[in-house]
Parts: sequence; structure tokens; C-alpha cells
Amino acid sequence: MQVLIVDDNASMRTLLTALLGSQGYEVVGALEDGSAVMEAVRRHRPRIVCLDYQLPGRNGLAILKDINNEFPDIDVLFMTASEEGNIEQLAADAGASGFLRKPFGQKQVLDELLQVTETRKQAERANKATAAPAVAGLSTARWGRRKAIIVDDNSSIRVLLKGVLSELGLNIVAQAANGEEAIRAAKTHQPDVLFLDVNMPILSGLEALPKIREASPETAVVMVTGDTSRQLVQQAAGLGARGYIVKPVRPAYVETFLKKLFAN
Amino acid sequence: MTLMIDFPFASAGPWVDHFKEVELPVLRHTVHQLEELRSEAETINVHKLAAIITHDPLMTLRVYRYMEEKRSKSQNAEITTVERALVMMGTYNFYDSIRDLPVIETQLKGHPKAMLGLLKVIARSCHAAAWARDWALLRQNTAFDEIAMAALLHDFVEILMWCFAPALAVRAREQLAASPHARSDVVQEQVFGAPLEAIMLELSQHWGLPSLLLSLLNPGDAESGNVRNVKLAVDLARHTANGWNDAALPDDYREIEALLHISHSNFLERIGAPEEQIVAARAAEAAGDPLAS
Repeated sequence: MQVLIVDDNASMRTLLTALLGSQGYEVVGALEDGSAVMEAVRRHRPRIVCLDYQLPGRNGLAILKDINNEFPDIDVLFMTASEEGNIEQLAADAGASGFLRKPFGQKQVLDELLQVTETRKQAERANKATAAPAVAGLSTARWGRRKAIIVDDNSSIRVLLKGVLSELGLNIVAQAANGEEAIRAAKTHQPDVLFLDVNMPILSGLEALPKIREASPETAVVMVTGDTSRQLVQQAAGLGARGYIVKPVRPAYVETFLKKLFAN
Repeated sequence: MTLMIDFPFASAGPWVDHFKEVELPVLRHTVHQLEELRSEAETINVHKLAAIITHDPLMTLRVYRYMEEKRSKSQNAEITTVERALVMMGTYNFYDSIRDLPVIETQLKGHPKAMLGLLKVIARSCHAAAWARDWALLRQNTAFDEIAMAALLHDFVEILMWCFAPALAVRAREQLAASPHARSDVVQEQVFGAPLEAIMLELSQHWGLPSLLLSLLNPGDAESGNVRNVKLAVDLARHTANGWNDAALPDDYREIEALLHISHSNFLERIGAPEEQIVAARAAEAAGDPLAS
């Protein structure tokens, strides 16, 4: 699996290159400057980019957004030593597939990369098999192909979430990229569950939530967010959300959540 | 900020290559103390500044590394002490070189066991430095500051391991605790892939530590009185860290007392041993007990 490393710390680049090389990853480049990253991504088309936040030339968050827009199938493992309180949330909302706060160890990188690649594999497997009437036997039987809608302005997250949810046996009947589209889709499809991003253009998740509940009262609305602050959780619950899934999306977490949701 | 090492390198060389690249973090306490005096950067007493720096082995190493990096070709005499280094570089330049210092406590935020282990080694190193200095003065050795610095820095690779390979450092400590009779260099080889002394010697040379310090840290010169002064202080600090009844202490005492030519009770007083041990030693000496010293 091809990996591009971007970090302005020389020691980090050297160690990551050696570590990933020893674990069977193919390191296609190790850059220290943010301004050359998109060109390298276009040239090498890596499957994963290990991307530092604070870089000379261009900051990692802006690069992450560009990668997601241009190459939604490339996973970005976001790495930072920043103390900014909301950086994890910003990276998750921008589509980071994994997040590591520095300092971190070699085992942590390998574990996070494993999670990222497993999630991607699962999503790709399910997305390839969308033509099949049922994807996952046990889950499908248990949840009876319940109808679901995914709402997120980030196409990369939609693709990933669709794969994960399909694999778990949900029937994805529609996708939307903002709150307004979400309300229309909810009214049309009356889904069992709707996964709703919080930060979106035009109409945010929290603004759309009461209107979705009004348009489809039986739908369980689940927030999908990188922000798990008490304030947001309470606000969403007060508006009728049935729970939340934390970004980056992890299949095991989603499955456990859905089991609880449908058990009720 | 670099990657924490969980998997040992195969030998001393890659460790040295790795440590060459890292930026050395310092204790938060050191940063605070230095920052409190920043406004007086141009007028501050270098003795006062050196005292702050030499309570933190990694800050001390940073000063030596800085001096080596800035060393001019025309500079013949080596700068062997922190105080002289500060005079040479100027306190203003020193302060200019320590903006945004990386902090050990931040680096080890997720590793409380390693933080504790690190603080113990630093405390041990400071004890060793104080004892080594005291004994050098007693021996009327004019290189007492250098001898103290050598004792302070003797275990700096162990400190680096706690900072940059905390999981491995914890494993090494647990292995040694589980097998108290195991040789530390054997455990180090198993856990880190190399004995720490080998890494220390190579790294000290690479960083251009003064040749006097290098010779004081060199186990090849073990028979020299000054090297023994350093080594015995380091050993005593390591053994007393286990308590004043550690089984290795009687041998340490014998060797140090022979080096210093002082009585057992006098020696125990100098190192701050528990009062009852000093009283017992005095009583034994008064009774002419041949085992008293």
C-alpha cells in the first residue's frame, strides 16, 4: 500500500519511512513542505497520506480539504502537536480518516493505519457489492435492510460511511450534502435512520434537525461529528437526535451504536 | 516533535543517528525558572543562571551542544563548564537560543510511568553531581566543576530513553526490578538492542562534548582517580535511590572511603546518610571495631 509522508520534522520523516517500510507499506515520498504536497499526490496517487498540520508553505488542514475534494478515495492520517482545542474536530469534519496527536509512538501509528485501511477495505467491499440485494447476512437479517440516509458535505466521508453502513446491512436510499437536501430526502424516503453531519453549508445539521424530525417523525436522527463536547451533545439531544457517531468513522463503533439504537 | 520509539533498534548506531536528529526537551520547572529571569537577560549573574541549568541534565546538554555548534575555528581552548559557556556566549545570546523550548512534561503527557522514571533518574543524576563535586573538592582537584558535570551527564542516554522511548524504558526498569541480580547492560541489550554506555560514548563524541568530559565519562580510563570519582558518585546515587539499606552500598562505601581517605562516619555525614547509621559508625569507630570503616 502506497503512503506519502508529510512532516517538517526530519526525524519524524526518517522514522516513519523506516517503520512503514518495515511493515510492508511502500513509502512513495517524504515531504517537509506543504506547498508541494498536492503535486506529489497527483503524481504518486498514494492510498494514504500521513499529514502533519503545522507545515511550512501550507497548513495541513488546507491540504486535507484539497485532497478530499480531488481524491476522495485517498485516506489522510492527520498528525499534529497543536494544542488548539478544536483541531481534532476540524480535521474530522474536513475528512481525515485518522487522527494522531503528537507525541505518539510507533505502535500507535501502526494501529491507526490498520484502522484506516480496514475501514476503507470494508467500505470498498460494500460499495462494490451495492448491486447485491443483501450484503451482510447476519446484520441484514437482524436489521431487515432498514432504510438510511447519509448527510455530509464531505464526499469522502459519505463514500466511507455508505460502505460501512451497507456492510452492516442498512439500505442507503439517499445521500445529501447539506441541511436543505437532507430535509427533502427525509420527506421523500421516510428513512428508519438518518446520519446527519453537524457542520455543513447552506443549512447546518443542528438547524436542519428539527425540520427533519418534522418531515419524518419516525426517523431516528444520528449526528455524525468530530465535536463531542457536552454542549453540542446536549443541544442535539434537545432537538431530538437519538445519538451521535464520532468521526473518523470506525466500523466497530458504528456497529455497536446501531445495535443499541435498534435494540430500543 | 519526533516519533516515540516502541520497537528497539538493532544496535547502538541507529540510536545515535536518531538522537542526533531530535531536539532535546527540558523540564517545565527549568523553563519557568529561566523565563522568570528573561527580563534580566543582559545583566543576570552567570553563576545564578548556571545553577538553574545544571539542575537539568538535558538543559545542560543543550548548552554544550550550542557551544559546539557555535564554536569558531580560532577557538583553541575548550569550554568545559556551563558557567564558562555562559560567559563565552553571553547571557543575552543564551536567552535568544532558548525560545519555545520543548517541554518534557508535554512530551510525556500520555506516559505517567515514564515521567516518574525520568524524574527519578534526573534526581539521581543531580545527587551524583553534588557528591562528585564535593569529593573532588575534598581531593583538592581543580577540575571539580567538570567532574560534577560528568556525573550529571553520565546517565543522559537513560534520560533520553525515558523521553523518546518511554515504553521501552518502562520495560527495562520492570525487567531489572523483576531480576535484581541481572546485569543492567544485559537487560539494556535485550530491551534497547544496545548497552546505553555504548550509545552515550558515541553520542558524546558526536555532540562534541569537551574532551575533559569525554575522558571523565570513558570507562576505558576507569583506573584514573577522577573517573573513579565520577563513577563512584554515579553508583552511590543509583544504589541509594533504592534506599539506605541497599545491598550494594557497603562495597560503594569501602571504595569511596579509600579514594577520599576519610573515616566511615565522616563519609556518611558528608553524603547525608540517616542519623542512626552515622551514630552507629561513630560508636563502632570509638570501640575500635575494624569493620567500622
